[in-house]
Amino acid sequence: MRLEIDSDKCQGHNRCYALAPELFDVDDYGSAMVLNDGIVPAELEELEEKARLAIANCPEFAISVAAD
Amino acid sequence: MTDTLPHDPEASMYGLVTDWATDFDHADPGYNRHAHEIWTDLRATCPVAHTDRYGGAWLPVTHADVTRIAYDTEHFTSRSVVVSTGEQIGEAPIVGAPPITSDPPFHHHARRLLLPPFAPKKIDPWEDDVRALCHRLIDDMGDADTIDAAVQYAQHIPVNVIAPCSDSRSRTPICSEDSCTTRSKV
Repeated sequence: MRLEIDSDKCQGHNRCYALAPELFDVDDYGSAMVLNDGIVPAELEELEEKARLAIANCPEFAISVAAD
Repeated sequence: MTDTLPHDPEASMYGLVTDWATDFDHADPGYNRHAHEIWTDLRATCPVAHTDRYGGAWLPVTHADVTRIAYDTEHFTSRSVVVSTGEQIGEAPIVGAPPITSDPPFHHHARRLLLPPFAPKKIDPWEDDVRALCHRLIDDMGDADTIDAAVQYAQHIPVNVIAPCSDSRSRTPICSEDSCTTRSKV
């Protein structure tokens, strides 16, 4: 699974960073970004679960799973 | 239908409500006491209630409608967000209290101005103080069998956490003094 953030949609609610700091980071302006190029290691089920939680909790629907 | 009982000290200025579908009033004493029953009833009978009070307002009560309205900034504005006698729709884009009263695209810019002082890493240092505040509020409840969690706990937290923009012990402003008045800790 590879995550993407649409930076135009992100309004800095930072729910993703609060829920999954292993997968997301935020800059000084509150804008979210993916860590490790957005790659969620398949062998870590707990992280996949956190990724889905972050996707579901983004109020702006800014996080998605990359099509590739 | 409004059952006007001006002698009722609890009634809103419009009088007591008798029909929640066509004449709802969030300031009616019955609304606070029975809000969940009122919403349940409206979901089955009139999922978008209306009132002429306060200059007119609509009350969607289903999750689907509320979500759709919240995201449909094309058809629904945030420029008038408080149902009150004094509320008038403000002139775009800034209105009274951006970003709450702003529509896109100005909403985005207003949020960007406000975000940096409240970004997660900026407020991390507050955690110990916030936890101490929460513990103190719980301790203050003592051994009471019944407490009012809203009055004795929840309502104190935003005021004490968000409003003070400086730490009175260090006098280190969390926001720049240009954007935030330095205040003492409550």
